[in-house]
Amino acid sequence: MPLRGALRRPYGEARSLSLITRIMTSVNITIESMTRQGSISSVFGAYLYAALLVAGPWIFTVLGLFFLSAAACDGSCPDLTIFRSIIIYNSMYALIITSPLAFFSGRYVSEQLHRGCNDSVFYALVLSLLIFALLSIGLAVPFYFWATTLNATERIASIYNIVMIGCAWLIIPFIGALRAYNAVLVAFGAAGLSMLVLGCMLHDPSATSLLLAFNGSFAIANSILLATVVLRFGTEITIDSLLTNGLRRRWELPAAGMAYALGLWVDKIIMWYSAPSGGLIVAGALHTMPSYDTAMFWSQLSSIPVIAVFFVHVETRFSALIQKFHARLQQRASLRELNEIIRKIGTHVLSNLVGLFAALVIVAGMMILLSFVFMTQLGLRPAYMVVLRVSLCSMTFYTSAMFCFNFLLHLDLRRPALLIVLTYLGLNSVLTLAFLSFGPDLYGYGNLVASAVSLLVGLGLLLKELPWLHYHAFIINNASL
Amino acid sequence: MAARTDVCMIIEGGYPYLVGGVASWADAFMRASPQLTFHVMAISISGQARRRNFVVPENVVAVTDVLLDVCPPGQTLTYRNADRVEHVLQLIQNALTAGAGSIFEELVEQLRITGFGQAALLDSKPGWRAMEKAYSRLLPNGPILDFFWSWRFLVRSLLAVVSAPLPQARVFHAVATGFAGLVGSYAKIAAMRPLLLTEHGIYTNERRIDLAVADWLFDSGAGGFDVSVRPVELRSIWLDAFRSFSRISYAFADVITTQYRANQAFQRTDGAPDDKLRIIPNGIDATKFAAFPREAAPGPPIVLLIGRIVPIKDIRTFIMAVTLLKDLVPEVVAVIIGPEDEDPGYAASCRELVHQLGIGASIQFLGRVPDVLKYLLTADVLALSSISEAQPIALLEAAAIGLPVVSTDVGSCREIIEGFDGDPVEGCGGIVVTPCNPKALAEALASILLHDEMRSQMGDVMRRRAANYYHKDRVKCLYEELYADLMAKPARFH
Repeated sequence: MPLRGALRRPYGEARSLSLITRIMTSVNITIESMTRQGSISSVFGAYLYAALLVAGPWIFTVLGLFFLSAAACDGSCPDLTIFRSIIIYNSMYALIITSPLAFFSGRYVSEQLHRGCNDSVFYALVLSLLIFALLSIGLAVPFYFWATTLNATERIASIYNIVMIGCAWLIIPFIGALRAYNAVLVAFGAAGLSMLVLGCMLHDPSATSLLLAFNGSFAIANSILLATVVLRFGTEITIDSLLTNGLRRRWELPAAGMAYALGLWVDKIIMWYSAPSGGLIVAGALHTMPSYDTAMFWSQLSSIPVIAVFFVHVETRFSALIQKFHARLQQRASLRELNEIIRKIGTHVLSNLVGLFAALVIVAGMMILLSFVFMTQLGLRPAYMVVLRVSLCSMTFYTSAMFCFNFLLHLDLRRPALLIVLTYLGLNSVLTLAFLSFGPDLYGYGNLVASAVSLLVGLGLLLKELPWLHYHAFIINNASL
Repeated sequence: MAARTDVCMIIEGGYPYLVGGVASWADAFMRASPQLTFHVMAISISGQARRRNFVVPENVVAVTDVLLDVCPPGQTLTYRNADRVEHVLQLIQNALTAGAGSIFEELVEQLRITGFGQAALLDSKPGWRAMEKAYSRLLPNGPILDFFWSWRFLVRSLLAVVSAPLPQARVFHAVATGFAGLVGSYAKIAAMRPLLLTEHGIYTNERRIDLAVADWLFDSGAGGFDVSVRPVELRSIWLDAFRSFSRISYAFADVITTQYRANQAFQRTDGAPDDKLRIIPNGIDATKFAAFPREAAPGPPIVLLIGRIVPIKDIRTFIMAVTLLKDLVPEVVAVIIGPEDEDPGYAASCRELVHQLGIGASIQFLGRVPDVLKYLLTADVLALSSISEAQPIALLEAAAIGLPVVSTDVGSCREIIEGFDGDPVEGCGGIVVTPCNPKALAEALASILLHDEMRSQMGDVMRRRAANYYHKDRVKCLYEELYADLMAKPARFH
């Protein structure tokens, strides 16, 4: 009786081939369905939701700085510089620490929800928050208490601020997985309103009161987001070993998160500590460089509308094509048919990357023109303009590289995706340092070259891997093997 | 280093884990030759439970598992050796389709030189491209998903076979072609010791039946709507592979034995050279069985069926035959002895059929029983409804105690029941019917049950034939002579 078992079914199911795709598709379809409702409010809501999901805390931080600076201080508060420096440091710290956690827990939660296993979702959130809290106690608390010359209330407000920004970054992936777009809009809407009101109420405020206004508004957003998660999943903590086991299997996700966040900040850190001129030191240890930072922040903020378009339309269509590929595969399509779908996916990706790059160039051009008119209102000075133009060029390359990064992560090609952010991190560090020696005229050029090379790497990896979609589906991402 | 054994017995799918005809034969065979030492290579898959159902005899020095779906990762692919992947996979494809001994030999050599395993041949991009080419040739326009899994299993099994740890043995004895024959062929190449190939049934025929009822194989429609096109189906890929395994096994075997004449025709068709062919039947302790007096206890007539409850035994036909038999012999009781755990779905469908036909009171499912002899002694006739058999031990045991048999015309059943050319024992020990024919089976059973004198004569014929031709001492001598001849051969490849 040979082969009794073997001939029954000599293979497993390909059930897991398209899990990641289906998860991502469902999120994107929610966004796209909002745009199809026909009303301006729903279209606006869709783009806003996409933008907030991708960079909600960061948008809120930049706008918060702008509101509080404009409304409360009229640009003349003595403590405004301290407040801005603290916010910049905390944003940097929170992003770098939370990105690995958010990348990993976001994927875990999406998978759990897709499988209908909600039990351990709250555990994942609590674990993320706990790790963040422990790291903050170990890193941020000593920094503010021993390295800075802030007073006690400022220190406590600063640490509170870190907690607020970090929590927002950590809760957002859960909200995204839940597709709770109303909660996102309400949370950041209420927080924005609160910040505006508090900003108007404050007159000649201290750094502490500015921080408290900022923190209070963030607390409102976080409370709404956290309540949404709790209402959906409860507060019962069910420990799941898959979460920690998954870390060994998918170490590339947190690594990519870390490289992504560090890459985003490394040039600024280098400029703060190494630039021979233009630096600003407050409270003993808070180094910043307003001419560089402000230009960079505005250029990054200007990319948000294009990023929203990417998530609302391009990635959704991409997901649909990938899902069709997997559906036809499961329906026993021939290789020829699958190759045809792969060709369509390749065409879609390339044409949209070109289109999005063109859109980013247009946005950058518009920003350069607008900066002449709204220079003061945007917090810019004539000395910043060269850096702004360079950073806007960098933004077009960097954002396009991140689109490649996103496509690759969507296909669960974690290592190629990691390679893109590592390239950017490495080159941004080395080239920013290298260009420092050429003087202020070339500030930002290191970042520009790093972004351009990262785009080339990303594009190369994407073009290399897309024709191998079936190989990745069958071999690399096939959990049945 | 492990001690050198006399015989390495290579068994696929059963011994010592699963109960069945070949496994029982192997167990009895090794016990019958205590002066020889054996090393068992048990071929199975990782999903198969490996809880031993046999207590291995003392002369079995070791049991080595060869898992067909577990193969070594092998050498990592580099730019230097990437181009060799396609060549090795082309050899594998040829081994799976053409099945020539020279191809298998070259494959073994290439795998030894390159050190390729799963990583290079299946999980790499060159491996994928080679699979695409194989797909284009073997299953053009068919479902790539199905081809992928089939290809993967077949390639992995080949890699598992050629990476199997070989014991030091004087003779390798494969009990079937298929994967066992393939391991034997590999042993012949690598260890340069003689290979004895024993076929109970014809492996390719049995696999053809398995594939015919496999629920995961279906017409893909790859041929489109053109009725003149005969599309290549996945089923044929598997069949070609099994046929190739047989051809390779025949090419490397020094001696090929089977149990009855009809099988030799199949072996020749699959490429077995005439000069290697021998017939050695199954042996049983006919003296011991004949010594047990058959009980003529009063009670309803009993029809006994001994066999695993699996499709190949066609238990459903037997159940339908019992339904018809009840019209002719109303008080008849049918007893089915055999494990149901191998194919629980089929076993459940049999019980459901009994329920639907309303014959629950007349059919007993006893499962696995410790003492089959007790039932043989009290039964009036043994029934065998299989659609494929070789030389069923149950039939020989029934013959030895003088129990008439109604059997389908499969394997050597006709030879045992009706005799063969040159058989000194004349007469029929039962009735042979066509497979899948409940009416013929019922009528044959009824004629034996309703005619006492005929039943007695048939029993006598069966007893004498078993004692004369199928006695274990005779069979044991045949094998031991064969082993002695092979062991005396010097170490050589061809």
